[in-house]
Amino acid sequence: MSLDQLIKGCKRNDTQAQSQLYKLYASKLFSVCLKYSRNYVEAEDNLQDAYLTIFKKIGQFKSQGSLEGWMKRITINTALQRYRSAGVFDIINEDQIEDVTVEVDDDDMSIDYLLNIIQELPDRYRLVFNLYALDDYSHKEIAAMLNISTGTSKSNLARARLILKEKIKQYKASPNSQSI
Amino acid sequence: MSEKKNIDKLFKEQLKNFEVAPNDTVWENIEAELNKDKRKRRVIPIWWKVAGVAAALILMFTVANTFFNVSENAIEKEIVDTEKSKNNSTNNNDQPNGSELNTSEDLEQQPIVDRENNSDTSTKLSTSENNENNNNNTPQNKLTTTKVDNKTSVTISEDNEKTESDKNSTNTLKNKSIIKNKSLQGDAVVSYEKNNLEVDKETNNSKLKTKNTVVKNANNNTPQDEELKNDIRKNKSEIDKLINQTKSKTSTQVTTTNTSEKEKSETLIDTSKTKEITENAIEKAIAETETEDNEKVNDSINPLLKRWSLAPNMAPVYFNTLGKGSPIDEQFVGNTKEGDINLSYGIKGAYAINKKFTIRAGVNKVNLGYSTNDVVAFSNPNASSTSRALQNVSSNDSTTTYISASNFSFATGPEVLFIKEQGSISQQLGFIEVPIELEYNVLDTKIGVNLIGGFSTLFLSDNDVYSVESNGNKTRLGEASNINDMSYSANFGIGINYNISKQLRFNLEPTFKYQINTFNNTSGDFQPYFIGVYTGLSFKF
Repeated sequence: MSLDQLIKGCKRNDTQAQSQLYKLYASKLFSVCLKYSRNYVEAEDNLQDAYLTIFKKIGQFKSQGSLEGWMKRITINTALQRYRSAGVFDIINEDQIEDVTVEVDDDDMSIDYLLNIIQELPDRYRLVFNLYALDDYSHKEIAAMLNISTGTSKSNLARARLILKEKIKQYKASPNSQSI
Repeated sequence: MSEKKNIDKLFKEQLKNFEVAPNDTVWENIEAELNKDKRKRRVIPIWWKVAGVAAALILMFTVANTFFNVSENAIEKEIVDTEKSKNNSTNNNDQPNGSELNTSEDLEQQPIVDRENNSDTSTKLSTSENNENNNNNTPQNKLTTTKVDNKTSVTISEDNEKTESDKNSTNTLKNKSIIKNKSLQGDAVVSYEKNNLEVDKETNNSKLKTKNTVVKNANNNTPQDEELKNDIRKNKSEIDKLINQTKSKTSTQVTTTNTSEKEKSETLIDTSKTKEITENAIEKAIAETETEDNEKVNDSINPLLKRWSLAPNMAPVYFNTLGKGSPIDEQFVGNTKEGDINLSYGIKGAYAINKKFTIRAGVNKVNLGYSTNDVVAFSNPNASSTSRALQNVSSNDSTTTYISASNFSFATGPEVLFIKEQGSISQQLGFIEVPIELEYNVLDTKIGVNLIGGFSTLFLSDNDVYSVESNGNKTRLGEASNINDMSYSANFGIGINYNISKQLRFNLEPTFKYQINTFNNTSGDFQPYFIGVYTGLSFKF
């Protein structure tokens, strides 16, 4: 089955096609979910919701651009939606800090550890860091997506960077101890 | 050993190729949820398939019957046949279950699908700096999935349902419609892909060669591909002017720069910035064409989706005859007849074959009646009643004699001996009507007009003959002996309907129904018909 056939199959609600589409992208999208979620279980929930949305909306996918990109957008949005409805982005009185450039030593660190410390970030920091640093969204886009100001977006990003830096420092100090 | 590195970069590089296979239970949950949806969607169609089979059988049955002379035997035979065939059809529905159960196990063996390396213009969300509003809306719209709580798996396999429905005769109709939908979608997709290729090409051009850089302000709400293309081709003379507008950042125009101007390099445009905006703008344009196309596709599909409708209806019906004649007795042929107005009510289901034609079937209870005027009734205790009995009425009252007033001479009658009354004879008939009709849509707007043609099978349910005295007293004489248990009518009507909402529509259908084969022995030329003004509400789904 070509990708086109697969998409058509999914548009017909063909179970076999849906299953194949799932298998094809599950690992990629699950990594996205892991980065945007607090933990493994939540990531699984996100993946499930994202795929249900994908199968529901696949009729609107027009074979334009990449299917993967489209699916990734839906997945990210699913993750954001979870926190939007949880009120994570409600106005928090927090002093905004300046944008900072954080540099760290470029050592080998396990992906697991990096993922772990991303997941440990507070929701509002984690999402901004993911969107900006890992998925190339601009502050303006992030502000619109999360319904916050660009100032808040920048501030949250800076805080995320500082926390991550701190965690990496701790890791360096005692590489064997897992994060808190 | 360690050099300083931007923390963003560090994470990005490390996590670039990060992939984790999720637990199998995730797919199981998704599958369960998908099946749940499918089952929900199928509940109503299955019911309608059964109704469709019934309607088809009735149709065949009726057609077959009209070609036979309707003697009692023939009728009985037909009824038996139908029942048999009905049974057959139900069996057919049941038998093939489980014959083809080949589902997800096959999947493992399927080769993994080629991954297309599309030039990726859309991995980023199509957000330009200017469309904050859009951004606020789109993610929310896309994300309306409900959380999956119920993890129970569905027991009915989808393939069972498929097999079942394949055997079902009405399903051919449905298949056709699906194919139609598919081809519609296909067309849309194809045409979209065409557009898209062009846009992609242009995107690549602008990216790689940086020859053409397009800036599109998102305030312009209706960007078209055509417009973009045309604008790109705008000649150089306009270019310089437009560059200035870009600087001011309030431009609503399309700016094109070419290589030569870029080589000047000290132009005031920050090209990388422009490029970024370009991509955003193009993506936005793509996104908008996408939504536009979606709307088109939806528009073309939605009306087709609501093929079924159900309409309870009622109507005042007026019964009369076209020719002169009497089904009661020869002597009443010349008498004036007066049609009664009665009530008909019932329900019908309709299926839209396409935008123009709708086929529908239903069940109505219809009461019809008329009176034969100028009848003299007289009671003669001594009369040898049999000689005077009404030809086609089996009566239990043997002492009263009915004579048409035109045959009756008051001069010759021994008035004193008779108690005589001048009144009328009223015949009341009740039928269960099963109409099968075709609707042709003449006008399909808020107020629609359609033409209706078809026929009904009428099953006799009530049969009474009354004597009505001039003072209004009514006496049942008995029942007519010459009415067929089953008869037909040819139906013609004009339907006017008003769409109250997408689901609900009000119908008004004056319909003329010419009855065939109602009586098997009439005197004179009695051609009964009835006119009904059917009103009702139909619910589409």
